[in-house]
Amino acid sequence: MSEDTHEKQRGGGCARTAPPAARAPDPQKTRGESRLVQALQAGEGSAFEELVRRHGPNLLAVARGIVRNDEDARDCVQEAFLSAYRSIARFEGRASLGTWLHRIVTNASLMKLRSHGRRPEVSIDPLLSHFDEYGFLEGPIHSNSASAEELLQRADTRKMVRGAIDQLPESYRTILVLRDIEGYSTDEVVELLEISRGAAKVRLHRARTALKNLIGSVFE
Amino acid sequence: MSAKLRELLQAVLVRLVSRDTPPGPIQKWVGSRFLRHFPGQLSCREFEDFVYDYHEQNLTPKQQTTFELHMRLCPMCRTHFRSYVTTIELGQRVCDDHDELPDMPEELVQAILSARSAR
Repeated sequence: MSEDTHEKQRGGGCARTAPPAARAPDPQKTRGESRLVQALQAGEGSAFEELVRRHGPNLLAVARGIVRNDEDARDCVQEAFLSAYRSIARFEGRASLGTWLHRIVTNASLMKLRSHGRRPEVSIDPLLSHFDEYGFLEGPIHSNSASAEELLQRADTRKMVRGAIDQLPESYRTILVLRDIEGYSTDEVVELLEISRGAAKVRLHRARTALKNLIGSVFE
Repeated sequence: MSAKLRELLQAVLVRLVSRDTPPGPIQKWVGSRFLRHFPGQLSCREFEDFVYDYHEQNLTPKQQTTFELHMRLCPMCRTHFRSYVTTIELGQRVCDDHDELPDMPEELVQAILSARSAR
């Protein structure tokens, strides 16, 4: 999928369902958002509370997806809203409020992960593709050609995919969440994670391959 | 090698090794020699190195053709790539259920409002 498609998907900040106010096409809601921004920039306390209540659930979901810990996720959301409050005067409306807040909470969550220090990571190698003596790809063939949409109709697919994402080593899980779930482009991921484009490509490909192998039974 | 001869050889090999079942020992032996010695072919390992860039549409037209030919020839890689793409789509859609957004705990709202007032 191209980065353009990712951008379109992200809409209000992520591939996850965006908060209503973060979606662009509804002029009524857009006017609501611009009024909210004006009120925030004027320092109205009620506007800040409205911002927190409107965008809080989505930001909490984003933070939980990255830090995987409720308490840390709440800290990140609090830090994100306070950071947004401090910088609302500089908000120019080039992106929606939802997109802007999404980026802030993502940064806060990545900072939280970094603050925990680098932990020894389990090797991802056993989850990657393997090749036999002839150079052929090894492993079972899952011949199910059902689409993602069809697979998601099954009750346990969503749970299984989420569980498998949580099993990925942290650096691989983080890049997969940022790119494939939250919908950041490769350039944004490179900037957020402070890694090279080449490293991002290798890490993301390994994360996707490992996830594919972890959820193999979905394709049977 | 003329284009016609190349096409003929490829057609024979597609019939010989391209099936929806894992290749047997003879198919593997023939296939591995073909992939190693026939010009412009990828091994499964090389195919794996191109999967990301093919999906991101970063390959040159020539690389893309080579990649797609391998996919036609190799049932394992064909299925691997199909599952790889579906996995990405599953990841993209696994959190798109609006009903599953968490509730914003009231104590968190109040903590944020208090912290803002304190600044």
